Amino acid sequence: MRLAGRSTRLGDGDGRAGRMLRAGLSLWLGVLVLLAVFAAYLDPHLALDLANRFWSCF
Amino acid sequence: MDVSTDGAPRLSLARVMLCGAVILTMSMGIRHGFGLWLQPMTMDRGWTRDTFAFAMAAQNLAWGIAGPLAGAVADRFGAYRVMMVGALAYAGGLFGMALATSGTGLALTAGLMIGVAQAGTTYAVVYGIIGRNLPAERRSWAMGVAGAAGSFGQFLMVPVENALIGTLGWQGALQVLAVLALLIMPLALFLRESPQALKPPGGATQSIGGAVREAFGNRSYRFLTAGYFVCGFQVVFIGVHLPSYLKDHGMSATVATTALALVGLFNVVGTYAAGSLGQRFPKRYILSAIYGLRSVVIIGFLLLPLSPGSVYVFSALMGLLWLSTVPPTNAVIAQIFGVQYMSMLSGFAFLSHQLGSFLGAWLGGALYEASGNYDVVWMLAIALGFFAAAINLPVRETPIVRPHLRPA
Repeated sequence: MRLAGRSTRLGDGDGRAGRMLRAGLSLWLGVLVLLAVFAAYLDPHLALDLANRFWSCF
Repeated sequence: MDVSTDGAPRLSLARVMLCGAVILTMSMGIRHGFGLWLQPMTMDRGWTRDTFAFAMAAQNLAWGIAGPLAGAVADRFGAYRVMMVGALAYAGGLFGMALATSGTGLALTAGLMIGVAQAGTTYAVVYGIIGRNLPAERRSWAMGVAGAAGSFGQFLMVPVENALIGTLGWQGALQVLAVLALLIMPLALFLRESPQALKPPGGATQSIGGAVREAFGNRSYRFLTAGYFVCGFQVVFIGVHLPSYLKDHGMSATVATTALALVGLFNVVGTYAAGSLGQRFPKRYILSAIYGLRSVVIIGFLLLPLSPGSVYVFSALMGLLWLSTVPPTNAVIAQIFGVQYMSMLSGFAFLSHQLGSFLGAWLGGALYEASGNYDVVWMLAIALGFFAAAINLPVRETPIVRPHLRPA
């Protein structure tokens, strides 16, 4: 068992570079998702088309 | 499961944040796009817009009124139970909404059931879990992340629901959302806390009535609650009436849609930022700044010549200040009163928020009808913003001392 205080530290055992990389990737993904949703407000058809193209890749 | 310094088992940060955030994304998101059903439902059922609007107003009031009760049950018997019942009510309300053929049926399902479901699956209950399971030094940040997830749900679900209605029809879309709401149930199971975790550190127990009396006898809590009323008033007035205001001033529907999208986009950023800042700075200053800045932004919007550009800047700034009051308000409540009855006390504060929301929506329409414009309500929104900024400044964030309570 671990103490709750300790377990809340993100990235224990990882290097600083690894943590920064994960944070950067998460931020980048978050921004992409937000912009995609924003685009869906401005042009719902474009958003649907993009979603269909995305799923057709699988 | 981890163990806290007082020996009670606690849920891990990852579990609380992941499940709490997804639950808030769904619970806040699903009902946010209900306006999209107004036209297809009223046309199909032969209702007037009043019928739909009444059900939505009832939903907001039911959410507020059921909040303290749901919070008290969550604090006493475990939040996961409340969330399970809330998810069932959410799904039932959505199915019922799809099948409702009368105004009463709509008010009972989309209004009452979904309002109660909201009380059991949104901020107050999830924040209670965060408060009990995460250390105080991460609490405001965690509330910011969870709050941002709720804001993201609101932002995300409008275009998703629009697409669902377009492909499945309004009834099919509601049924899909009902199934989606049921997904809250397994997530709630992951947030099942041990009975020891529901007890306060040190074992000094307080009765529900004692906690309510203590909170309402506390000046800081009354100030926070009054500030939250203003938050509800401003947000709902702008959310409901801004499109009409823009239309009255010759702006196209595209400008109004983009404005609401910008509010949604920046709301996610603002909610997260407020939570994170609350970890470093006194939360009363953050709240005061948010309310004061809202008024300043509204003044600038009204004084500057109206153009699409000014509307977009206003929307982005208001988005940053939109639900950003939620994490600091709840974090201060936890800081002052502890976490034993946090969901219930957050629920009472939120009831004040919902009364403000109701007035913001209703007064916006009523004063517009009386005067032919929104000037009076804008002035009211500005004055209330400065009032809320002022009353948050003397809030004392120090934990309350309870010498009369002895360990059970």
